[in-house]
Amino acid sequence: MVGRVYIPVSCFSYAKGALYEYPTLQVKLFNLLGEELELELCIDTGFEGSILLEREAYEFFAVGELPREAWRRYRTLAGYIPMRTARAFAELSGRRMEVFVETPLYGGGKRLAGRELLNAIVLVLDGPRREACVAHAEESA
Amino acid sequence: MKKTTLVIKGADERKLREFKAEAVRRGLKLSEALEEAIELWLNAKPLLDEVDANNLAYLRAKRQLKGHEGKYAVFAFGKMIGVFESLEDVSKALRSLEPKPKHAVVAKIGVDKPGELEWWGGSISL
Repeated sequence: MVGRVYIPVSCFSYAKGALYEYPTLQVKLFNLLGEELELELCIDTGFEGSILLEREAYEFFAVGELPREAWRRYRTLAGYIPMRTARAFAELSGRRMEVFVETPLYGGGKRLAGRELLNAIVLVLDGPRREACVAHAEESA
Repeated sequence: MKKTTLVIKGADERKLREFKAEAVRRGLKLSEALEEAIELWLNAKPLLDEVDANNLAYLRAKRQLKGHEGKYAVFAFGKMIGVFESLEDVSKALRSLEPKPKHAVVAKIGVDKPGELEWWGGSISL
């Protein structure tokens, strides 16, 4: 039988929710000036983008902003939400990748890690331990 | 003041039509509206914030960027800084600027397009 073994590289504790805890990721982000900001992001598979931040944190990345005509927008239950979009680098368990950082053009924001980022990593959600682990996958015979 | 005749080729028909309609609405002759627009455009720069200035610089340079698809064009302090092969090169160029910019437009030429993505229920509390 062929199986797969997931070896945790780094694990992050779940955060307290209203009733149940939720998974988070600790990510080192760099703006295009090379300055670093380490943030805890909620894992949100319902968010299709890469990283969502509130306005104050987003300003740190405004030095790599996309032209206004290329800003993205999100379809939600409450209508469309236009975003400001910037380029940044993310470092997660020693791996560096290019990411998009976004914030709503109007109103507040949240700190989320969305599918664009989650699809680039191996992530193990260990519910009973309340840990989200970035892992390394190995095939085993 | 000396008056002159102006012939413009290749102007966007839709924009021109809107411009003419707006001139009529404001009770201006086309030449008066154009003079007003030119004046505004020439004097606007000091009033723009950094984000507007960099986006304006991008729009002005956009046509010249054809042929550089896949590269990154960088705009800061209201002007084009350069075209670069990689995001690492962009980063190096931005770090070398003095003073350090707070805002820059970094466009991946021919690639950056406005996308429409989805965001499920979590957004309702916004």
